[in-house]
Amino acid sequence: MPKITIAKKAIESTATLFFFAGLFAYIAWPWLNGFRLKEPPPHTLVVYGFSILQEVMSGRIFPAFQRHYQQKTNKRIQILGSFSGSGTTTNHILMGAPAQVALLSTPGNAARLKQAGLVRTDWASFPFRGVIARTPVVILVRHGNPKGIHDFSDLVRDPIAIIHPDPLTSGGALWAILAEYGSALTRSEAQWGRPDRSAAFLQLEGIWRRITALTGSARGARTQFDSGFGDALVTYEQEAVSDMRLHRFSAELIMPWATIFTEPLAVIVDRNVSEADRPIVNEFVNYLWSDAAQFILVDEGFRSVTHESFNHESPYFQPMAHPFTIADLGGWDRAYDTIIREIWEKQILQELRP
Amino acid sequence: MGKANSSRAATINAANDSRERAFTPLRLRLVVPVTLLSLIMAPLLILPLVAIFFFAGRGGFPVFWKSFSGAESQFALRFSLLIATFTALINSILGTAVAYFLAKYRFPGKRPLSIVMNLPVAIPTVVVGTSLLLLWGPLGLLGQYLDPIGFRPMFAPIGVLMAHLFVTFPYMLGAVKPVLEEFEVTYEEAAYTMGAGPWKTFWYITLPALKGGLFAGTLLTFAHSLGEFGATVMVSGNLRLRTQTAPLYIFAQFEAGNISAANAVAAVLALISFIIFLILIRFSETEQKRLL
Repeated sequence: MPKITIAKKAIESTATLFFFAGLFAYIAWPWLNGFRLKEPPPHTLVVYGFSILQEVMSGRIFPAFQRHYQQKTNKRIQILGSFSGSGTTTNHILMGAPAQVALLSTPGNAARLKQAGLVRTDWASFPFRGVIARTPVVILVRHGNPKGIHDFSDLVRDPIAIIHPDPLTSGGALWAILAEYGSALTRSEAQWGRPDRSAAFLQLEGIWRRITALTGSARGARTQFDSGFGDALVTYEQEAVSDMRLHRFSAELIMPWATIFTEPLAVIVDRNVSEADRPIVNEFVNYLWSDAAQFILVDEGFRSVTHESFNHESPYFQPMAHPFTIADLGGWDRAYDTIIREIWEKQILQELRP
Repeated sequence: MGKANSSRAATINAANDSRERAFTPLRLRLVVPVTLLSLIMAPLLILPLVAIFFFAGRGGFPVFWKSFSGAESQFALRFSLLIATFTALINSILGTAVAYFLAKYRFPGKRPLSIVMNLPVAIPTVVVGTSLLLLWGPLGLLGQYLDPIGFRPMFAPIGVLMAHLFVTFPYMLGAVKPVLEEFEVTYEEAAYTMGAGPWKTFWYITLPALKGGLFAGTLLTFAHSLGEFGATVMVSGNLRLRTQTAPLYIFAQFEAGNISAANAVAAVLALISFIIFLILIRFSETEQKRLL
């Protein structure tokens, strides 16, 4: 009897030892293996981007740029990326995250980085004032459109449950608010000859009354919608197109009668760029408007800013009846102050408070 | 000797039998509440764990392996294990030292100090992350002076380590301090009278007595660090291949809709934690008493 106990204990102790030995060997493997690894690349480029750029950047543009850079200079570089909601990304950088290039969803986020002194290079001096691509705000509904949703104005009917990204952390959510409000302005202007602000207010309020879940980023909202929650999702067209490309799009895309073109932009976070890294950073930022990068962006569902002809290449882009841009709403700062701050935040959010 | 043993065993067995027989009606009556409780607990505790392994294994081994063997998931898991190892090592030393002083010495302010040392258990981990950012971040209390000289712990591995040390500190303390408090002073006094210095006494007398507590505390710290999310998400910057821990990887991949990638790492993380937990209850008497 005692012999068995001792043997059992010995087996258990040995198993424990092996478990931890295995664990530590696993941790140490890259170092044990280090002699066989190639020299680490001398330069690292750190890019922080907002959520929907994850696949197109990590999967396509980063590798393409690495090849481009190696061909041009014969040097290898490593690119590290981090992707979350545009507001979250901005806050991370403000708090000291080592981003050298930030790809943001709204000019407002870029302005915060500039105000904090982190961004000194003016992005308006970049091609297309820093805007790397465009993608309209659209509505996704369940297959077969069981709720009969054809425009933003249909979202104010009951019973509809809407999934929406959170304006606190997601740039896409801010663009969505501008689309939800601005589309009613555009429609009334086309019908009556002048924009009807109260109709726009009622539409935005009606939509927000029916939102059942807010998520941190546009990508997070889509994941939630894909998991079966909600009847409609307000998001970027790119989210749907990137899935159609892979033949895994199970929802239905509704192009609103009027909607806004979102304009994601690139900025250089000068604080984190050393003189040695400057050429790589500049090269990368300029590369975003190269034909190669723009073509990849179109392939992944963004609409090109450099060549309208690229956009005709994609079979997935639906025609837009009345697209408008942030310039039509008086520029980002004005639209943010009058629509998001004054109307959405100060009036609609207050009304919805239980 | 053997005979005495076997006869005693027989007595105990007989006693057990009679008790079992006496309680049979009660056992029958227990069937309903036990079944009900199981029906409630299964969806609460057991089925969620089943779901992870179900989804991780759904595509078969090739799908699991493809998700698991990618550079980013491998880095995340390795980084988490490395941080957990350092957290466990550092906190086992710090925790033992603090427990030693709290258990052995009397000094003014000892009670408030004990409470403060255990505070991390009560503070939400997200708040821990925020407070670290507000101290060490470039706008923080200390950070604003350290930033210009290039010391930027936040959004770097050292920041993750700091968060984990903070969050897991009480586990070490809680495992070691009770042992030290129950430990008879006479052994140490005997060592002193035999001419051993304080270090020698600690090394040969106190430390061996602490072995069990140290073991349990280190494992608990390791396991908690491995799964830490709330504080890490605030201070790590979530940079792939640099500061992304396994839980952050799982969250990021899940949010991006890559459920299989998230699940592969989640299943492995759950498995490692489960084995550590098994080791803990097998070898630590206090944990056995607490749990079984």
